[in-house]
Amino acid sequence: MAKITYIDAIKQAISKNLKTNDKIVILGQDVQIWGGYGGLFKGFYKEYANRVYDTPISEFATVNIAAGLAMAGYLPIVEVSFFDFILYAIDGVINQAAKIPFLSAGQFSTHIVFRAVLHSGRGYGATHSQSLEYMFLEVPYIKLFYPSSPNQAYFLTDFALKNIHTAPVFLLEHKLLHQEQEEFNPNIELKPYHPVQYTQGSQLTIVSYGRITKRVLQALTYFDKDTITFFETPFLKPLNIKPIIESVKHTKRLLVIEEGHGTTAAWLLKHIVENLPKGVLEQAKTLHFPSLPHPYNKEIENRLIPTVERIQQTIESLLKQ
Amino acid sequence: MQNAVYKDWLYKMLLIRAFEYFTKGLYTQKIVTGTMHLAIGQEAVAVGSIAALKQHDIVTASHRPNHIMLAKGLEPYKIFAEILGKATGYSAGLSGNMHLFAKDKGFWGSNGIVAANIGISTGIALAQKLSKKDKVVVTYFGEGAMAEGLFHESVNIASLWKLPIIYVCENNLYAQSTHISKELATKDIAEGVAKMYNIQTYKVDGMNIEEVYNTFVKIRQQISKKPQPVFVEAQTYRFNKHSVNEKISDYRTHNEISTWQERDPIKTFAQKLIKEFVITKEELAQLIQKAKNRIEEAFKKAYNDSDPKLEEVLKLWQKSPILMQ
Repeated sequence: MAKITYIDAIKQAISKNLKTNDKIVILGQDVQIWGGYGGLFKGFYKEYANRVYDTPISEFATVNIAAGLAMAGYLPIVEVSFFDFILYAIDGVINQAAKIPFLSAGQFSTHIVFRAVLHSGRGYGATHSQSLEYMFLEVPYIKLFYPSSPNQAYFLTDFALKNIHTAPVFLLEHKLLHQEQEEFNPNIELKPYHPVQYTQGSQLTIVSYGRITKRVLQALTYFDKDTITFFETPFLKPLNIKPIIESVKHTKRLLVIEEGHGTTAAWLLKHIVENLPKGVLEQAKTLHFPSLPHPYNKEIENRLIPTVERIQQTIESLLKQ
Repeated sequence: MQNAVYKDWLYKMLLIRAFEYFTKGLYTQKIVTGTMHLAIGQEAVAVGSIAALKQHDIVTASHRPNHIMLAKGLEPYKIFAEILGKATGYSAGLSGNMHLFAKDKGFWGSNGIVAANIGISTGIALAQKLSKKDKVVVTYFGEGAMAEGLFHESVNIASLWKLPIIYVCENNLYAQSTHISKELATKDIAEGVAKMYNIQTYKVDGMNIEEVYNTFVKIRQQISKKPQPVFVEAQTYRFNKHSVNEKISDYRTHNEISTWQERDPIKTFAQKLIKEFVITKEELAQLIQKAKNRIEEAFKKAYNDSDPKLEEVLKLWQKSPILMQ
């Protein structure tokens, strides 16, 4: 089977759904000619001229318009571009789109797919590099998906566009994963809302997601195979954490790693720890970006994102204790 | 025929006013909690404009929605049930009157956030354009909402995309306590919007139901012929305070209020109908009583309904944060 890149996998999944679901409408900045960030939507305007809309630089209106479209039975894909730009539209996401299904007691659904690209580690500076998924963790109904491989990207995009959701879904991509390649397997099945388990060990349980997955996998090569259980959470929310809890019951040690400022890791930790039986947990730690804006200097920025080396050192220190 | 229509308009305005006064009482008597924004004085804008629309047109409103909902034909009983937080309310007692939805009635939501429905309604209008239906979306908001960025982003896009939407600014001169002269730099809202966004705009006397109706008939026909956004400034006044929780109205003079009250849209229209022998004084008194009775009955019926069940509400929640099996 042919190889496919992460961004092409997302494109394939959108293309497939555009063909079968005529309610899908694409909205955002520069989507018609450029195809949005990274050219994701390139070519769709030619094929579906009345379903691809270039918006002015009006994030707030774009998100509210998407909510109105969804209420009327359409399925908008919103090009957020840099995830940071969603901040301009936050009322539209949290107060409007996410609440309308509840406030209307189910009369309206607001299934919208927000496509947002993360950029930490690229020297883009403080306003173009944040991992803002933490802002939506406790917003009822919002779903967060974040693939780390092309096949995951294909599955999650296709899954996000299925008519099974009633509220906004964030599809998070990392720019540094866009050109990752693997053998394309369109029949890949992820178990909805379950973590993906990579390794099975008895000493430590690690949970991570998104781009950091690759770094953890690299760090794991320094340790014996039966030492560490590693879970990735491509479905970040909602998430069935039962497999993780079962694992920590045996390993008694937990490490949660993320690329952002640590709130998501803390959130995962909270839900795992409070569901453990008394006396089980011996060690729990999170690894994340320090409480600083992202410095522009790329080298410094990259030393602050959990590196393979820091992940490895943290694992070592946890195993010693 | 025309007389029956006039009587219907008058009755609808009386019903709104009866509803608003009754609702005000519920708050002062602490029968209900939270807040409530009344539209006493603004009835003609709602009744006159909605009378000119087609039944299937979609309407949205702001945090001051009662007159719009009643003019659109929502049942007072089910609005009361919502205000009382009952399971039989339009939004099952989950939302109150600031986030009330009645999809089947063509009322697609009030909204507690100023200007939010201007954006959402623009999206609903895009959906009408995509499905090629002769359906118009009408969204109501106060002039205070025009200072929000979302208003400008939305009208700009509606103009670029030729969306079938009527933006109705109920200019009641005050954003809470702040006078329009301190909110908006333009001296002429309708002219300002027309120039900036290249759309048709109208200015109407919101205290005159016939003028409101005639203007909206014209606009509605225009949009049927050629889908496009239209902006209407309806000059009106709220006789009451911003919300039921406002203690004193220290930002307006009694003189200003009483000057506007002389232009009361219900009083002036009723006087006109009496003068033109459309109704008698006795008939007017009967209509007032009929409206009051209907509101009281609706309230009584809603008051005895059941609250939503906590278990049912939690069922809505379970899909949300982290799944546990």
